[in-house]
Amino acid sequence: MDRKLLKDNELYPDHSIVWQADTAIAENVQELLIPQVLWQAHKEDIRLLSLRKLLYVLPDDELTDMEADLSEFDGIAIQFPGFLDGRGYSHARTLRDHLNFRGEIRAVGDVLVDQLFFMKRCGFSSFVLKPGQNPDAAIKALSTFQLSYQGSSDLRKPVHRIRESL
Amino acid sequence: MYIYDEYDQRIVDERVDQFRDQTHRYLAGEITEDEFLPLRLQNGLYIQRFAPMMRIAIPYGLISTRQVRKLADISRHYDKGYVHFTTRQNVQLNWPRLEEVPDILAELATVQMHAIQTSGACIRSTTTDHFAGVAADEVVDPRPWCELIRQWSTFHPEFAFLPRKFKIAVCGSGEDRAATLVHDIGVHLQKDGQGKIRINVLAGGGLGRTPVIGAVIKEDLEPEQLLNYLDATLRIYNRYGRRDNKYKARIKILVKAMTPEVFAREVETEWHRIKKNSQPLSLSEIKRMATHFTKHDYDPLSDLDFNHLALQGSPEFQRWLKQNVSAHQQTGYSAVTLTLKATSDAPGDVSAEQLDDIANLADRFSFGELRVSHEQNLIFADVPQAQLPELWQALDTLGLATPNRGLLTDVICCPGGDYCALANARSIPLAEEIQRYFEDLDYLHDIGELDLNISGCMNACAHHHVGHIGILGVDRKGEEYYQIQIGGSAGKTASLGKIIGPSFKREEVPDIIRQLMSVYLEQRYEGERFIDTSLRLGLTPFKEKVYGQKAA
Repeated sequence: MDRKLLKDNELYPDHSIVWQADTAIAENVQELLIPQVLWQAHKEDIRLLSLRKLLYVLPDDELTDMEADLSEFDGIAIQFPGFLDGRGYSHARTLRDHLNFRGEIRAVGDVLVDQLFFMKRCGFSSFVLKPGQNPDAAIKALSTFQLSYQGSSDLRKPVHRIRESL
Repeated sequence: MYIYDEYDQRIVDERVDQFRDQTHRYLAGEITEDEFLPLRLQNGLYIQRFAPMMRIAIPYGLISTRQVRKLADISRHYDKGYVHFTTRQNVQLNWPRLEEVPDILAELATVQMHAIQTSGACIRSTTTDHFAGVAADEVVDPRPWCELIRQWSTFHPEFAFLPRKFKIAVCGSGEDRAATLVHDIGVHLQKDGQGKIRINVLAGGGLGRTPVIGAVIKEDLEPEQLLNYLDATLRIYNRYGRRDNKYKARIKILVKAMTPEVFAREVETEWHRIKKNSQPLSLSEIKRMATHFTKHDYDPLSDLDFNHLALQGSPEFQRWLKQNVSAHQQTGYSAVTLTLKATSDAPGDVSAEQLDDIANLADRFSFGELRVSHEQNLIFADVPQAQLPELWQALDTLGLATPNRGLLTDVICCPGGDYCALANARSIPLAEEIQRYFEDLDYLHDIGELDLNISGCMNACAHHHVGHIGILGVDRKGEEYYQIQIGGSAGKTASLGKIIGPSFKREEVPDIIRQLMSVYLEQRYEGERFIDTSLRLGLTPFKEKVYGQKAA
């Protein structure tokens, strides 16, 4: 596993796996990404696991079905099957803006340096970089722009609100 | 026009830095070809048949002479000394070098220009009426709303990786000169009984392989909610638009599949959710925006008698006055169209020298501003009528007084196979052959208003489906052929053209058009335009003329 987790401007080794009901969990695994269908089917078993648990969201998932259960997770991992698939951005915003999820939202999958700024603005707080991405460039990319025209889930003021507050 | 403050300037400057860094990492091998593709596209950079092609935004078609001179300089220094105005109020360089694109962007940023989101699967630059702010039939000036949409869509973090490109057009007048019915979203600005602005939103229009007329999904929206409503619409599209097939990925397919009623309901639900925790557009911001688009400092002039004015000039001047000069809100002023459709020049192409000359004239006659129309023409929007003879003289000397606005030879034409890697056939040589064939100005003026649109492929960059005559380049076993359709139009009663029959070789096309015209000239009612005659008669008489009795 040479995947790196970028969180709070630091890089960590990624010790998460996607949980499947029948696989044994290796010793170095620290976090489980739990697909929504498996959560629905195995809630009781999963609750007994002592590792950190993140809900694993796929592009097609409907998050509103999960509203009542979100508080049971330590975080949410949103999967990007390919970097051109932008559905994960809308998932993150729905979680932040409508479902009021305040915990960690992590981007996993085809996560590239040049997507990070947009992801951050949509409410992502951590990123498992695709292997081969330059970590220094990734950290730099998080602050590509100092100002943004529109408000978003990162709560930063849109430019016109800054103008008005002067 | 909109003038950047330090915040706007900082955003475009940071964009230049970002793209410079991205280009550097790409050239160093850190970014793969596939990963670089959307990055460069969102900066308007295509890899074309022979070289990169760079598309620069002219937001909603408004450009100052300072910016025009900068484009001229850039085209001389970084390109081959000419530019191409597109069918979406953008301008293209055909021969820039990838390594120099960051420098071009830096140059553009010095005059408050950019190439942001002129391509790619994101919200593209917003378009509107090229007579915005001066049109005699205008109800609401669309420009402040276009700028609000421009800012909202610029680097919108949620919508940079949509299923497909997304185009918004705004209309605030009686007649729709922005083709809003064939855009992903059309924004119609109007006023209610109390004089308050209200907005109708249309969605799901588009051309390309599956042309569709947009449907109204929201009526009487309060303007403060426009951006929230757009957010909701885009979110529904981003989540449910098809991503498995490029040709079914536009919003029109989603709206059709869901039906406009269901789509509208989904958007409505999302919009109510968004409204709960997003601030509406503030009145002070709306006001601030409007102050950027106030009327020019017009002299108090009276309208001139154009019959009288015409009689003082040559027949050429008279034709130009009739055809290229349009009504204005302000008495004593007119809007003047410079068609970039002189025979032998590719439609929409202008040389750097011409750009400089045009800028000088706009400074002299039209408050230092120009418009770019989706018909690939330039407009001096604010010319005192008394100066029209003098302006005509100057334009005529420069070869820019072609009196064919809205006529058969004012061809809307994509770059086609001469430049574009997607094209099935060349467009520019056909446009030129048609212009040569129909040289007789009296004949052209007798035919009157006629939109002729030529696209080199299905992607329909020249909007052939909504041309009164639309021509589509097709590939028949490696040979260029041209399919002809008639009966399309782009206004508020937009219609899609119908194909008349099997396609033709290029050299056949001009005479086929003449045959279509002969049916029109024989059968038209007094004052009836070709489009109206063709819709009234249907295809049959045109088919019979072109293919003979049997085919019909």
